Amino acid sequence: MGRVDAIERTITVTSPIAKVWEALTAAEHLAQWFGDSAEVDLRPGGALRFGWSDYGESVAGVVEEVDPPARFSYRWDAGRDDAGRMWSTKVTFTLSEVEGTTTVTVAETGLAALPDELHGKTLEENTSGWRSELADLQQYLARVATR
Amino acid sequence: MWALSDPVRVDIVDRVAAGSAVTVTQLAAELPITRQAVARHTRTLEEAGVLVAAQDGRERRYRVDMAPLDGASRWLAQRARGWEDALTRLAAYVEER
Repeated sequence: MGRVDAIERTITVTSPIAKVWEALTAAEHLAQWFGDSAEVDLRPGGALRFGWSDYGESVAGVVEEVDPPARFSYRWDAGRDDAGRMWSTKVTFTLSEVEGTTTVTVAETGLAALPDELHGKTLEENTSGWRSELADLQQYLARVATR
Repeated sequence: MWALSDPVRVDIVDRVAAGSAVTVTQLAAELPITRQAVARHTRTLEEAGVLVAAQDGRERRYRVDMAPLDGASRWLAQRARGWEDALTRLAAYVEER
């Protein structure tokens, strides 16, 4: 099966681009809307970390591009595979402004390369019980496919 | 799973899940393929149980049933929703300041 490699989502914000850039890149702002703690060394190669205290979790990453106010990207950890290797995906924000309204697009890429266990782990509970039906479903789909 | 082996169908499921396009007409307006091609894909996805349709006047409105999706697809859908939520919070935060 061809895997999806990228997630892309866009939103418009009725604020000037400089304000959106600040909210996206400054730790004190990120801690208000993204996680509940954030550390960002805003330069290519700089370290970043987002924390979610509700989940007792934090995710580390490395800044890649800093091109204010249009583009900000980083790679962040996607988890360890069964062999203990850490995998990451790339997150890119692109911003543009027209008359005080800023369009923000986030794209997360590199998803297709992640090993299956990283997809599966977070969903084990939800998917148990379903896996047994998979074989039947695939047979069914193979029949539909030939129509 | 086979129903999602075509990138156009993945795109369709993605859009329906996001709520940006939930009818054949809306999907055809957003995708670079004909209405007929969209209808063929939505029919396949409906037969696979991934899309569930409800009649709304002359149009069928689709929603995504997560149950038949495999682990990876569900994980992707959850992650996409996570980014959507994050952008919504960003917009709310910036507009309040």
